[in-house]
Amino acid sequence: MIQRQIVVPTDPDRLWRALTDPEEAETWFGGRIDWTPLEEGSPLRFTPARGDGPSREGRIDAVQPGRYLRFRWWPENSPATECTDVAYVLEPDPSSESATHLTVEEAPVAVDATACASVSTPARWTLDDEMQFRVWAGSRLAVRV
Amino acid sequence: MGRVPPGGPGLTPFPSTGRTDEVFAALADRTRRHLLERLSEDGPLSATDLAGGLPISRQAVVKHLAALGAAGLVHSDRRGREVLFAVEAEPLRDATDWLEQIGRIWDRRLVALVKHLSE
Repeated sequence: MIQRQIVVPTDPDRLWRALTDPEEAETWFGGRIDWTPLEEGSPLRFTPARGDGPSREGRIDAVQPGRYLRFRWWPENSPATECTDVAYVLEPDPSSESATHLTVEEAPVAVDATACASVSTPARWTLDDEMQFRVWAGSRLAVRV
Repeated sequence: MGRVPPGGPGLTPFPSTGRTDEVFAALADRTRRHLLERLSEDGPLSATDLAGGLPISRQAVVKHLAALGAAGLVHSDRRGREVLFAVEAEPLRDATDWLEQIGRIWDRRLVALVKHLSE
């Protein structure tokens, strides 16, 4: 699982707009994500900038405006491969109204492929899986292979 | 990599198997990781060898080995009456590389996001 945490110099509502407004997100995301409307169960469509990389489609799994967004996405017409689950978590900075802690996670969806596009929320690749995987992939296999 | 859009390049396809779901589904299980670890240390081993150190049946080990095999993470060879299993390293490296690539894409996106919000 990928996890990144940063502090952004805006309040949570402003950050939420930058994350979810398709026009605004296009300025930093590296492509355009359309989700209309922005609510649980809505489909999403990602069109990469300048045609680099595959277009993707997906679905929104959870929306709490100003706080939390979770979606899964996969290469267009191919939910069987590279299905991942993305989450944005926004938390107000305890000491400043104009700062927000943003956590981004992206994790492979570790279930059989057909589940990705289906309605039930699939099992995620967890941080525990990731740490264990890295420990032995790094320290053991890398040495022996 | 030639053209790099502002948020970084798109994810290139997962290389060796093209099936991240199978690789990560296989790796997301503690027992299967344990089997891979034993095979990487002492392999090739048979299902009976592997079941020896575990509180699960040989039959359960065989099922886990089949899942690992379907994901391309182990391969098997018949030697006489025995089937021996060994680790296939490439899909593991590909899986790690793929995750790291996703991380690099987010690094670029987040730098661009902070820059955008600071303007």
